Amino acid sequence: MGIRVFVFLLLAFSLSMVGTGRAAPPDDFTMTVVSEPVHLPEEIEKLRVDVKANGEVILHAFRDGAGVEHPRRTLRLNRAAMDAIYAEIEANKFFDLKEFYGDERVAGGDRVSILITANGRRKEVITVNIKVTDFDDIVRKLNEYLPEGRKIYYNALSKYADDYLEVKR
Amino acid sequence: MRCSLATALVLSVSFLAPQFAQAQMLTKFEKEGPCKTRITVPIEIYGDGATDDFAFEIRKNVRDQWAGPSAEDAAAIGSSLGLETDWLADEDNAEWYKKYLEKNEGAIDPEVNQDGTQELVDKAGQIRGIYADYVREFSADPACIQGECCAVRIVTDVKVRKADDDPTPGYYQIEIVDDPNFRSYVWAGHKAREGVENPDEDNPDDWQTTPGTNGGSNGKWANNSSRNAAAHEVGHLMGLMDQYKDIKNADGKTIGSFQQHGHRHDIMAQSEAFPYRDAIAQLMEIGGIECDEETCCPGFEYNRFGQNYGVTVLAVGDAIAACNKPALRRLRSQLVDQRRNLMLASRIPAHRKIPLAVAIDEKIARIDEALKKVCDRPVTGTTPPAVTIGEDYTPIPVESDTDSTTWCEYGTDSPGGGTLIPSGGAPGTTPGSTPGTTPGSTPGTTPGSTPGTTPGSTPGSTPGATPGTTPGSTPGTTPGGRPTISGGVPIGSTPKDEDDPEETTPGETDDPTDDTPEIPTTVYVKAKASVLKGANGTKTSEIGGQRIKLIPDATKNPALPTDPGAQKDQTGADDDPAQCTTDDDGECQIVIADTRTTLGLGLKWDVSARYDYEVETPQSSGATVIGDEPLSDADKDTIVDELTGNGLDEDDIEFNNYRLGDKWVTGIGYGLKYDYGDDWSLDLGLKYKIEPDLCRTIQPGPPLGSSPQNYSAIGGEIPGAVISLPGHMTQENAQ
Repeated sequence: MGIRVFVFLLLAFSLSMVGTGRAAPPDDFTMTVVSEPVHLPEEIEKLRVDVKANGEVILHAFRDGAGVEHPRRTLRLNRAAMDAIYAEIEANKFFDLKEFYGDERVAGGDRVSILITANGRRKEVITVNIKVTDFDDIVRKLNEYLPEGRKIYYNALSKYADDYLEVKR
Repeated sequence: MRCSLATALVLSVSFLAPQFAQAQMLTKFEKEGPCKTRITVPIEIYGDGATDDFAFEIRKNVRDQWAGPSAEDAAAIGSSLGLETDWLADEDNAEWYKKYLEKNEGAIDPEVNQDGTQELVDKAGQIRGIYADYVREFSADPACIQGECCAVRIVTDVKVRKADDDPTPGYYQIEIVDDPNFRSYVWAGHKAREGVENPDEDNPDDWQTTPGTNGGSNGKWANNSSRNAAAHEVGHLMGLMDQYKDIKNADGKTIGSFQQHGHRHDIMAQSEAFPYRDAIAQLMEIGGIECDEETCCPGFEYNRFGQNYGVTVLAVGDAIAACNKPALRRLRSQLVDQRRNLMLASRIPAHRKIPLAVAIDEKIARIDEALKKVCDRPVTGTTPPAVTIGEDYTPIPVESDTDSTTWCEYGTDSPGGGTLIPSGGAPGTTPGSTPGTTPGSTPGTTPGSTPGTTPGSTPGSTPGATPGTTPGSTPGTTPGGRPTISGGVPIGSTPKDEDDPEETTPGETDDPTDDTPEIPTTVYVKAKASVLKGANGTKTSEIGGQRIKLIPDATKNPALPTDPGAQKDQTGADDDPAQCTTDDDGECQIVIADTRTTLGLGLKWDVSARYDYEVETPQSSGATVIGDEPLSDADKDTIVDELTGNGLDEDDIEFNNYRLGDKWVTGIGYGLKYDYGDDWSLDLGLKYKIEPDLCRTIQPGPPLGSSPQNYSAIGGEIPGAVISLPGHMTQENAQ
């Protein structure tokens, strides 16, 4: 009986840690998010954000759709932010996602990739012109901690993508 | 997005939502004339970004991108501006991507991706402006783009409707979203193009898009005119595929995409780009429009212009290298004439005129520059190379003809471009000594001396006069008239057979006509040149691989049957030339036996003499490579390494690509005068032969109207120099 209570309490504690976003990223954690137009395979309009385990975030320089140049910026996220981002990754079982999602009926549009390294594992997932809920939620969570004007954008996050095909994962 | 088309087929089955449907192709293809097609793309825009202003922007963007220069025209103009045009080269995709992935370990390298084309992007506006000038000059339709044979006018019929209004039938429905960061797209499937059997999954040219609808919409575009997105998306609405390729890593995972090779500046691949001619052809196929090539592509007339230009442009390079102002002025005049005639030619489509006009203009500009600058600038270090012909060679009334590209000169008054310099002779002789005379005697050896002026000579004697017929053979000649020098075997003669009594009896005079074939004589040739080694001064080097020919005058200038009263001697005209090819030491031997008489060799000539011929030669400041494709980057690197390794400054080395007929011509400029031999390809292992821009005798072109099978004649063997040896050394006048 005592053991059952202990296991129950331990499980409840663990779940509460996840639920409150306190699952800390491992030391080898890195995350790179890239968003770029499909028909402009150039450096312009290519957004790239690198996140490291220590909270360092690199916002790479890019030119947005309006032609505004954005310089390279570095910022540092606090522990709570990092924990929340990593918890989102865990909650959406990033390492269990497929490697590619796309809708071939779309000519043009854009492409997004997330590359994550954690606990010795490394995985990249690419989505092209499709809403993938568990994938997009990770980017949305990261965007919560990025400054205005430097958030990652792509069509599937736009209100205009109401005709995009949508899958959970 | 175009990933694997095989994947696409699977996805199109699994993802086909009920609201998605393949739409009817609403684009209209109409023939405007025998050589002109009109393509109208009807578009109705709606949504919060749909305004009249943006409708105008769409029309303007499409017109700017689809009625300007094709990629090929842009390349020609870019080349004239000094830009690289490698981006037009259609390389082996599979091989290129393999190298790409190996080099970058699967990562996208933007530098590689751009592949040095930024300068073209920077100058795209200038290129369009220049093209527009040409279009006006050639009275072409500025609203058309020129395909390979026929012109195509691509217009958009753009209407604006309110979101709640019903769509207008027959118009593509495009929602314009008020977000400049939105990445525009159209709904489209794709299918193999009609007539394409076994379409290649990785070749977008084998496929075409089929516009589709999703919820009644054909696509969504950002209200952003800076990306040329409308021009690209209209390409899809006309049926064109994307011209970019997904990159997969070793695991087959897509890690990015970039332009299909050969399409790096294709409007169907990226934003700042141009439509390709093959895309124009595809559009006509999609629309079922046939182009009457006989009517629209009169290749006959165009070939004539191309040939004339090809002949002239080679001479331009030579004349610039030689700084020959009279020739440059004459060639400039020729080019101006060609330019004017090209403009007036009514049966040549503008797309064929313009690249040629660009090339002509560029050459005229180069001539003007050369006339202003280069030819007035003393060239440092161009010491005239000394060419020694004959350790024991006696000047004879024949021509020394060589394939060398280094022994030539324009604008000289000296016969044949050579200057005869009697110099240190063989042992026991005085340079320039008269054959058959005592060493040191000089009459008749001066360059240009007139035959018959030497005492004892026979006025009016002709080349080839029979040796020994004139009385007074010089003592000291061997029996049979063979000259000797005291104290040894003539350097230039074949060692005689000591057992031959006829050759050892002094004073015997035989009929030299009979003897000549039996007395082979060897002429030793040594060719050397002063070679400029960049800024490191000069040095003399031997010239290997040069073919030296001794040609009878009759061969050079035979009497023609139609020449009334032709009485010229044609002896030996059908003989093979006496010739040799210099070895690595610049040396070779010409054995003269049967040809001795026809060459005009007398029996009284001094074979022991040595004669140096110093020839003013221009040295190459450029070269040309002609091949099926532009010179590759790797080949360029090889050439640059070779030149810089020999002291040239890399900044002085330039490459310049342009098309000539169905060939690519790559001009190589290396600034300084630089003697680099005839054929680098032997040394550098390149695929195509490199022809230094050296002076060549201007030769007539092929008959007008003829179409060459290939252009191999360009850069083919033409004697690099002809040195006329003065005719004062006949046996007669040597007396």
